[in-house]
Amino acid sequence: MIEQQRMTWKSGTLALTLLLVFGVLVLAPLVLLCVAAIPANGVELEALRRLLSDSPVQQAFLRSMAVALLACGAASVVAIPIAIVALRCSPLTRRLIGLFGVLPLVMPAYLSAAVLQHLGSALELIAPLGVAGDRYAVGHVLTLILVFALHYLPLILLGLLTGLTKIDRSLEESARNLGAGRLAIWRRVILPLATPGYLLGASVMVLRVIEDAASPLVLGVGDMLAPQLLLRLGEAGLADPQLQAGALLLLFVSLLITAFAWSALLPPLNTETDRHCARSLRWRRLPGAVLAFLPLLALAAVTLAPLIWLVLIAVGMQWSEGLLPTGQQGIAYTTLLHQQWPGLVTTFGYAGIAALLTLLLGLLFGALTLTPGPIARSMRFVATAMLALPGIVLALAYLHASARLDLYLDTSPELAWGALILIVALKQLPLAQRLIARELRALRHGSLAAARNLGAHGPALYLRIGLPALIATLGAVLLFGAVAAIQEVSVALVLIRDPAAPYAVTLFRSLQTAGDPAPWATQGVLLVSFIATGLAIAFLLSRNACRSRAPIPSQSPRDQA
Amino acid sequence: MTNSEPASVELRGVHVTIDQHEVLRQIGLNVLPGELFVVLGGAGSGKSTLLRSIAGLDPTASGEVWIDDKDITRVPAHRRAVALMFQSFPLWSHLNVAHNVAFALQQAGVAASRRRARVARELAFVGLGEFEKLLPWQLSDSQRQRVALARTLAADARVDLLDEPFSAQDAQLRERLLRVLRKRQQQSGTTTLLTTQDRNEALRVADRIAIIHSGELQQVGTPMDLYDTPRNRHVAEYMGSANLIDGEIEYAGDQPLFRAQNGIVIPLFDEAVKRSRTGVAMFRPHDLRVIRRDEEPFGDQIRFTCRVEQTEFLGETVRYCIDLAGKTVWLDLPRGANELSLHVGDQVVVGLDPARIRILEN
Repeated sequence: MIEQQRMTWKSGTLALTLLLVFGVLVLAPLVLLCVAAIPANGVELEALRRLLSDSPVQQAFLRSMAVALLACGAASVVAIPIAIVALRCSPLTRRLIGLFGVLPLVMPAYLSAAVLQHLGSALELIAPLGVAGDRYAVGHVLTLILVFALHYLPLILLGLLTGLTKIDRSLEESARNLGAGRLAIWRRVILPLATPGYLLGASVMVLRVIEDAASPLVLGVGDMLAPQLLLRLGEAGLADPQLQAGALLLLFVSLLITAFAWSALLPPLNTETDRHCARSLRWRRLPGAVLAFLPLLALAAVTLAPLIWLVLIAVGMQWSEGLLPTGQQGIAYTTLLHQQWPGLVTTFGYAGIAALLTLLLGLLFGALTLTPGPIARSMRFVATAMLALPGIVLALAYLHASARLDLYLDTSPELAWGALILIVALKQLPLAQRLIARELRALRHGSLAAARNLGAHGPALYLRIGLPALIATLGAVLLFGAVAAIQEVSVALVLIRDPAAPYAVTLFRSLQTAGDPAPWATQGVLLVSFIATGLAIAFLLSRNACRSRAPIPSQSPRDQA
Repeated sequence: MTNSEPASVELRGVHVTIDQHEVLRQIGLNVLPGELFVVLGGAGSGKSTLLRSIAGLDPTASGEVWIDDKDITRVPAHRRAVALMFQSFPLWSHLNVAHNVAFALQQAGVAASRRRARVARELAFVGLGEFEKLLPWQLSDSQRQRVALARTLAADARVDLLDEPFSAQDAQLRERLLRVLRKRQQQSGTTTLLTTQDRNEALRVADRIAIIHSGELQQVGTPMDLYDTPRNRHVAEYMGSANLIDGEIEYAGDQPLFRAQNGIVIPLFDEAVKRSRTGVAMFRPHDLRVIRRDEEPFGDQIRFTCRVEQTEFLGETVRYCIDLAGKTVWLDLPRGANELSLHVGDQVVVGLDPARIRILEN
C-alpha cells in the first residue's frame, strides 16, 4: 500500500480557501438559480412540479434523453464489435484503430452536424441548411443522433478498447483453468471487467449530449432541453419560469448520471494490470490480413467521411446535380484570415487564459488531493462533480447571480469573458486534476523520492527533477484546456454579447445562415486544423508522459479511472 | 472440477516454444499419484511454463501430457481437471474474496450452502477467515496470494499446480503455510506439483524434486539423492551451497586422481569418475573439517592448510571463506559447545574425506 503523507496546515489552509472560492463561484450561483426555481412556498413548489410536468419542458427533457440514449446506443453498436475484433488484430492495426477512433474529436459536434446535414441534403435525404419543416423533422433528429454517435464514438470505443486490452491475460486463464468455457469467461470475467469503462464512457457521452445546445440548433432541432434554455433566454429572458425549471432539471439529471457513473466505477474495475504487468488479453489472431483490416476500414470510413466532406465543401465551387462538386476553387484562406484576424486574436487570447486557469486549477487540485483525509476527499469530490456540471446551466446561474448583484454580465463584457473562461476551465478540471494527480503520485514515489534520498531538497529538487518530469503532462493539460476553449459554443452563446465573439461562435452563426456553404466550410477547416494540431500535440505529450512515468503504487479503482 | 482420486501426471518429451523462443526442451517427467513433486529452478528456467503446459495454457510444440492413462495434450484447459495457482496470483477485481474462492465450485454447480462452507474452510486454512467480503484491491500482496491459493485448493482438482505459492509471504507465515499444506496434501493425497526458487522450501516438503535449468530437466530424485549425488553443477548449486573445483581425472595405476586447476591432487572413490576425463569436483561446505594441531589423521583424510578470508554468520552455523591454493572454498562450522572461533587471516588446517567428493558432469 502507498505510504501517504498527511496534509500540512499550509496545504490544508490552501485547500479550504479553494473550497471556499468554489463555494462562492460555483455553488452559490447554482443555489441562487435553484432558489429562484424552487421557492420555499409550498404553493410555488406545486407550481414547479406543474412546470416540470408541463408539456414543453417535459417533452424537451424526454427528447434530450432519447437523443442521448439513442446516440449512445448507435455509438455502442459501432464501437463494441470494433473493440472486440480489434483485440484479435496486430498491434499496428490496433494502434490505427485507436488513431481513427479519436479522429471525430477534431471536429466539433456542431460542425459535424452542418457537414452531415450538407451531405444528407446532397443525397436528398434531409433538408439543406436553413430550411425547416415537419417533412424533414425526423431526418434532422436522425442526423443529430448520428452526429452525436460519431462525435462521441471515441469515448466509448477507446474506453472499451483500453479496458479490454488492459485485462490481464492471467485473469482469463485463471477462469479457464478453473473450468470456465469461452462463454462463461466472457460472462463472468471479461464483460464485468470491461463494463465500468464502457459505463463511464457512456455516462460522459450522455452528459455531453444533453448539455449541447449548438448542434441541435444547427440542425433546427430546437425542442431539446439545452437548446430550449438558449432560445427561452433570448425570447423571454432569465425570469422565465420554464427556463429556470429546465435549468434545474438539466442540473439534476446531470448529477444523477454522474452519480451513476461514479457508483458503477467501484467494484468491477480491473486493477490487475498495473500491479503485475502481465501479458494482456489476446485472442487467436484473425485469419488473413484483409479480415483483420476490416474493422479498421469500417472505422476509417465512418470517421473520415465528415472530414473529407468538409474539405470538399470548402474547395467546391459549383454544386449542380451530382454528389461531388463540378468545379473547384482555390480557398481564400488569406482573405479569411484577414477578415477573421481580430476574432482569432480574441479567441486565442481567451483560450490561452482559459488553458492557464485549467492548468493552475489542475495543479492545485492535483497536488492537494494526493494526501488522505476529509479535505482532500472533498477536493476530489469537487473536481469530479465538475463532470456533472452543465456549462450552460452554470452560465445561466452566473447571469442570474450577476443580475441580483446588479453587475449585469450582458453589459460588462470583461465579466462575461471572465465567466466564460472560468466555466471552460471548470469543465476541464476533472481531466486536468486526474492527469496531474497521477503524474504527481508517480513522481512523489519515484524520481522525487530517489532525488531526496541522494540529498536533493528545496526548490532545486522541484526545478531539476519535478518540473522536467511534469512538463509533458502540464503541456498536455494546457493544450486540452485551449482546445476545449476554442470549440466551446453553448456557454459562449449564453454569456457573450460582445461583437468580438469567440471564433467558434462566429462559425456557429455562419452555420445558421442559408446559402453558399463554402464560407462556413472554410472557417470550419481552419477551426478543425487548430483543434487537430492542439489535440495531436496533447496526445503525443500525454503518451510520452505515460511512457516515462514510474510505476504507480496500488490505487483504488476510482483513482485509476 | 471436483474429483477425489489422485492422478499421475506424465510428460513425454514436451517441447514448448513461445514467440520463437524455446522455453522447455524435451521434458520427460512422471509424477506419481498422491505425490508432492517440487520443480526447483531459477528465475526464467521454465518452471511456470511447465505448469502452464500441464494446465493447457501454453500449447506444446511437441510431446505429450498424460494424466493417468489419458493423453490430455489436445484437451482444452477448462476440461483438464487440474487447478493452477498462478505465480502472479491474479484475482478478479469485480468479485470479492469469497466469490473469487468459490469460482470453481460455482462453475461445477455446487450448491450455495456447501459453497459457503467450503469457502469459509479454505479461507480459514490460509488465515483469511475474516476477509470474505473484501475486494482484491483492498488486500496486501501476501493476502492476495493466499486468496489465490485458497481458490486453487477449493477447486478440488485431481492435480494441483502451485506456481511459487509462497513467494509473497514472510518467513514465518511461509513456514506455517508449508507445514499445513504438506499435512493437508498428505491427508487428501492430491497429486501436487509445486514450483519454487527456494531450495529450503523444496527440501522440506518434497517427496521428489526435479531441477530445471534453461528449459531443460537436469535431474529428478528424492531431496536426499539430489543433495548427496547431484549430476551436474546446476543441481549441486540448486540443492545447497557447494564447493566446485574444475579439473581433470588422471590414473595412478587403477586409482583415479583428480588434478584440480589449482594443482591440488585428490584421490577419488567415486564410481562415476571412470566415464570422463574432465569433471568438476564437488563437496559441501560441511564436508570440510578443521583439524586441531593435536589431532591425529584418520583414514584417507586429505589435509590442506588454508587462510581464512572472510566470515559469514548464518545463525546455526558460521561460514568461512578460505583460500585453498588460490581457490576460494566454503567451510561451515556448527556453533555450540565445541565452537571454533576463526578470524580473517588465521591459518587453519582443514581435512576432507575423499569419499565425500563427487565428480560432476562438466
